Order: sequence, then structure tokens, then C-alpha cells
Amino acid sequence: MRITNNMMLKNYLNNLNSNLTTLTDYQYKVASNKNINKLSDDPVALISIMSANARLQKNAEYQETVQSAIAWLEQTDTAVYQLNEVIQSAYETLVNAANDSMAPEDKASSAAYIAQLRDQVVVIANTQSGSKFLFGGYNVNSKPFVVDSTGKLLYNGYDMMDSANPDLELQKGQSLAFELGAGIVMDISITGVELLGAGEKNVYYVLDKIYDALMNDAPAAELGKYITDLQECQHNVLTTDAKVGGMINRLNLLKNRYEEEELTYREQKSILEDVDLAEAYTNYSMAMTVYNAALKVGTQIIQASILDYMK
Amino acid sequence: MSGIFYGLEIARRGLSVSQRAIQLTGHNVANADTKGYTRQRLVIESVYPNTGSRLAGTFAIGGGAEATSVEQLRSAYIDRQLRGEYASLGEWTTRAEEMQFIESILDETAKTGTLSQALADFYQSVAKLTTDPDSGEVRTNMQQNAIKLCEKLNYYYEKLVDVQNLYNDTIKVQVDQINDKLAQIASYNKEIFAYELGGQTAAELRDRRNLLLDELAQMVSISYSEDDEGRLSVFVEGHLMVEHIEAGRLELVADGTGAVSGTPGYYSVCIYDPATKDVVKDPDTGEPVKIKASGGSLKAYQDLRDGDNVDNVGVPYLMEQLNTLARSLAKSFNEVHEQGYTIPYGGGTSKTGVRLFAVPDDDYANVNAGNIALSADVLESPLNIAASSRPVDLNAEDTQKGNNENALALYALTRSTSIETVSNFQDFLKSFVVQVGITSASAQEMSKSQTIIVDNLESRRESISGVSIDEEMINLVSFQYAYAAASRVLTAVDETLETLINGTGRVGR
Repeated sequence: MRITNNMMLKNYLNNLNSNLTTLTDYQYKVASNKNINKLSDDPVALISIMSANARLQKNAEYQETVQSAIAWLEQTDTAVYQLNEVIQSAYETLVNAANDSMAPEDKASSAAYIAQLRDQVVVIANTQSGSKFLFGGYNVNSKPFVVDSTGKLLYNGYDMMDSANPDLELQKGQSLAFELGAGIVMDISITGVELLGAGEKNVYYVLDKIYDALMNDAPAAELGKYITDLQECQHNVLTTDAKVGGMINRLNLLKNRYEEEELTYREQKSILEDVDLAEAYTNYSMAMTVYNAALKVGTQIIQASILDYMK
Repeated sequence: MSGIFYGLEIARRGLSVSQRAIQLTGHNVANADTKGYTRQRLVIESVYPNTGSRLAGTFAIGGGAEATSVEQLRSAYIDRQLRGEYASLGEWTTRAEEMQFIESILDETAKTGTLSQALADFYQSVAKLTTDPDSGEVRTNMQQNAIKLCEKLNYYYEKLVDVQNLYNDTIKVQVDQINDKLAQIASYNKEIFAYELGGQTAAELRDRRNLLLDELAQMVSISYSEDDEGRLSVFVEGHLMVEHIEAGRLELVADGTGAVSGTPGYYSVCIYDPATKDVVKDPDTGEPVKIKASGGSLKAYQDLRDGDNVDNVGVPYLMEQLNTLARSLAKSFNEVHEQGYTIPYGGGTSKTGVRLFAVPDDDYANVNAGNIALSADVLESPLNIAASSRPVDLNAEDTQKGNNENALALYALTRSTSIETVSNFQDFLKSFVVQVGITSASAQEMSKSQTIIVDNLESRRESISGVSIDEEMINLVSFQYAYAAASRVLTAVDETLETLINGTGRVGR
């Protein structure tokens, strides 16, 4: 092939240009610390990066939700524990009082103590997490438990004694649910109905009846009946406590899983997205060397001509 | 025997030929860097002995050399090949450059400020709504993130409309340039034809015309033919546009609208008919003949402006993808949102059937990425976000303010894979972004490989037609020696004559 000066120049320029392109590419990678700086850099890797981003995003959302659920349940746990303590005290007081040798005045003072415990139950059932009532179901902003002027305990406006009321039954189902994972929707709140029980076996009413019985100096046989009722209440509360504890354990496991997953996704993403600095810098240096060599050789070839040797 | 001064004549011719060869070498060297220049050679022929000498019966000596013409060293075959490849080169380099521009607008690789990020932020605020449906802050956060998502879609859409309009304007510029080149070619045709009537080659004029054909071939697909008399015809996309000295022109008719965007005043490329002073019309339908370029940068701009399907990805296709996403977002979120109940404020009551995103004229077909916005209700107050599944009454004993059932239903949409037309928003956005990347990457690949083909052909052309300084210098030396030798011949003849004229007839003197 016949080679002309222009061909040499053009080839030289083309090669220089492609060297410079490579050089700029590496330089940009080193500077931005990102492997992919344009959508067209590596569309296939981009799919993986975007998927990893989406998974990380969901992971972060679920971690946050799980965290709020755990905080909520831990406070619930404390309240349920306190409620158990209250029932335990009432139980002990009642067992003491349930003998016929006890003087009526002593029974009256026991009754006063029971009355305090009874009111304490309402306070515990109205426990707040931040500004939210833990046991109000969807009614998180106003006191779910109110004792009206006639001495009835109302839960979200419904008489706790009236266990046949379908509305009260509906309230039982209104516990807060969180989505804690793809498709995992879990009830995380204990409604007041669940906590205290409805109808005859409601903790408040049982304590109230014990109070009345003690005030009326009821015989030991009658008081003994209430012991069974109290035991039943305590059993109910302990079941709730176990349920809450179980949920906390499950959520902690979930939390750990999400944390591990996050690490894995981050690593995947980093492998695709982040520049291996050592490699990038080596590539950059090599490209620089090639560019320098091309410049040197080029200038030598281009300058030479037969004119140098003609007289 | 030939005449006594015949030797002088041969020497004169020798001097003249060398002199012209040196001049032509100078011309070549001077044009070594001229774009489109084709190297020239002097055609030198030896001169026949004159007839008188042959009639004399003896052997005859030739009459030296003479320069008969100047020829250009060019391969019409490579030119033709190149012009075919130029059409692809023009198309793909333009497409590659423009796609890179578009991907810089839709820069989803950035760490912040992307559409993916806006969508993710919106999702996150819906997630928060499920845990704190009663919190004003959470609701405001969701309202703001939804606004941000709408605005990002609006921004992308507006930018794409701008780009589409820009391509429409560029088509006008391209057509003007094509017309200009066609007119120039016709005028060169005229000059070349007139010049060459005398039997000479109009080398420089042909170079310039060839350069114009090269440039034209990069803009639009052309073919051309030259008849025996040297009359050149040029066809643009199969339509005869230059017939010898007559140039036709393309005419722009602003009768179209931008695909998807619906911007009016989009140009169709037609052919001007001087006979009717109107555009050329199809004889069967009576409709103007519209040119859809099959190659060159004009094709790239037409495709980018009008391409609306997956096989021909242009700006309208990208806009339509964004529209689908916006429409689908609005529809799915509204359908769930309408089921829920708002938190009352300012003495009002809990409302249901409230939309999250606005629907112009109650028709989801009117929702697009350019106009997607929050509904007036939700813009008015974030309390109008319907998180509850039952009416909220702040004065009732059971307020239901903490009811998050509808928020959970909204949140379920974020991971749903059965959403109408898009299946999953994030996946849809991902494939959209990746498609932009792949379209751009493949255009760059095509442009690169086309550049290699063209570079190769250009090298072959340069190899034949380009000026080599080394070669010209060596020729120069040879011509210089030839000139010196011819003048030596002249001196020899001169001395011979000196002897003859001044030295003869003086015997015995």
C-alpha cells in the first residue's frame, strides 16, 4: 500500500484520540470512584445496581418498620408486666383477707388497697408510647379507657361488661398491623379487650367486685370464688405477656436478618458500582504510558521526511 | 534526413515538459493538505517522428516528448463505496452523540436527584405512613415526597419535549444544508461541463464537487450517475434532485405534530415542484410525497424525533414510557386511596373517595408525565391523605385516627408485581433506564464500527489519491535532472550548429 503523509498524520491523530479517550475514561473513574458514570457505560451492570438499590431501599423501610414495632412491643411488654404485678398484689391481698377470722375493719383497709390496684389497672391500660395509647387499637390519640360516673369501665366508648355487644367484638380485631416484610403483615398491638378481657372476667370488674365484697365483709367462701376469677385474669395476662415476648423475639430475628441482608446487598452493589482503586489506577498509569509512547513515536515519524536528506 | 533544427525542437520540448512537470509537482505539494484534493500527474507522451522524415526512406527519429494532459489519480469505485458508508456513519455518529445527550438528561447513575431516588423516597414515606398514620409530620413528608416525584417526572418530560423540538429545528437546518449542497453541485456541474468541452479535465472543480458529494452522503442517502458526456445526476432517497445543471430542492411543510408530545408545527420533508410551485404529490392519492430518510444524519434526527416503538427508540418512545409510568402510578394509587378515609380538619368530616393524584377531566388517559400532580385535596392538606379504612372522627370516643389499614394497602402497591401495564413501578423504571443505556451503548458501538469501516476506505482512497511529500520530492529531483539534461542537449545541438555555421567552408584559411 502506498502511504502518504496525510495517512500517517490521520492514523496518528486517530490513535492519539483513542488513547486520550481511554485515558479520560480511567481518569474519570478514579476521580468519581464510580465504575458506571453514564447509563451506557454498562447497561447490564446497571440492571444489577438498580435492583440492589431497590432491595436496599425496601430493606431500609422494613428495618425502620421493624424498629418501630420492637419499640412499641417493648413498651407493651413493660405495661403487661406491670399489670401482672398488680394482679399478683391483688391476689395476695385477697388470699390474706379470705378467712373468716379477719375483722371487718381490716377487710375494709384491704378493700381500699384493692380499690387502688383497680384504678392502677386503668392507668396501666392507658399507657402511652410517645403520644399514642398502646392499647387503644386504632384509637391512638384519646384515652381508650374511661370510668364513667356510674362506675362503668368504657373502652373506646363501649361498656367492657357488655361482652355481647358486637361493636366491642369488632374493637377486638382492631389491633395495629405493620408490614414487616414482603407480604408479612403482623398485628403488633394488643387491644384493650385482649388485655383486660371483656364481660365477667374483665380485670377491672373482678377487682371492683372484690372491693365490694370486702367492703361488705363477705364470708371467706364467697371471697374464695374471686380467687379463681383472679387466677383466670392472671392467666390471661400471662398469655398476653408470652405472646408479646414471642413477637419481640421474632422481630429481633427479623431485624438481624435484615441487617445481614443489607450487608450482602451493599457488597453486591459496591462490587458493581465502586471502582477498585488499585486496578483503576494501574489502568490509568498504563494508559498514560501508552499515550506518552504514542506522542514520542508520533512526533519522530511525522518530523522525518526526505527533505532532511536532500541538499 | 530530418531538418537541421530538429534537434533544437526536441530539446525545447524536453525543457517544456520538465518545466510543466516541476510546476505540477509544486501544485501537488502546495495542496498536500487541501481537503478533497486529488493528486495530479502530467500525462507525458513521446512525439511521433514527422512524416517528412519517413517519406525520405530512411529510418526516423522521434520528436521528443510532450505533455498531453493532466490526470487525477482517483478511484470512482472507492468513492462510491465510501458514500454508501458515509450514510451509515452520518446516521450512527449523530445518533450516538444525541443519545449521549439524552442519557445525560436522564442521568439515573447519579447518587441523588434521580427519578429512582424520588420514587424510593415516596415509597419510604408511605412506609412511614403505615407506622404513624396519625402523625402530621409523616403526612407532610409523604405529601412533599409525592410532589417531588411528580416534579421529577414533569422535569424529565419537559426536557424530552425540549429535545424533541430541538430535533425538529435541526431537521430544518439539515434540509437547508442539503438544498444548499444540491444547488452548489448543480453549479459545479455547469462549470465542469463547460470547462471539459475543450477536452481538458476540470480537476480542481471535480475535487470540490466530490467533496460536496461526500458531505451530502453523510446527511442523507444519495446515489448518483455521470453519463458519457460528463453530465452528473444526483438522487436523494431515490428522487432525482440534481439533473446536470438543474437543481431541485427539498421543501419543509410544517403540517405535523410531535409524536406523543403533540407539539404543533412539526416538519415533513417534501420535494418542491417548480412546475406547480408546490410540493410534489403522489399521483394516486394526491397527498404530498414525504421523504423518510433511510440514511445519514437526517435519518438520525427524524428517528430521534419520531421514533415511538421499541425497534426505533426515539424521544417519543421515552416520553411514552414515562407517561405509562405516571398514568399507572396515578391510577393504582388513586384506586386504593379512594377507598380510604381522611382525617377531618377545620370543622369538616372524614372524607372518602379522595384522590392522591389529580386526574384532569376525570380521565386517566389525560394523565401524563408532563402534568402528573397531586390532587387539589392532598395539596390543600396532608390530612387528606387517606390512611384509614374507617371514618375518622376526632370527637368520638373511638377516633380511628391510628387506623393504618388503607396505608398498608397503599404500601402493598410498592411491592406489587401485578399492577396494570407496568407490573411493578420500580421494575418498569429500571427497564426504562436500562433501555436508554442500551440504546445509547449500541449506537456508540455502531458508530465506532462504522468509523472503522470509513477510516479504512478513506485510507484506501488516500493511498490512491493523496499527496506523498517524499514521492513528490523524488519526482522533483528526477524532473530537475530531466530539465538539466534537456538543456545539455540544447547546448550540444547549439555547439553542433556552431561548428556547422561558423566552422565549415573555411578550408585552407
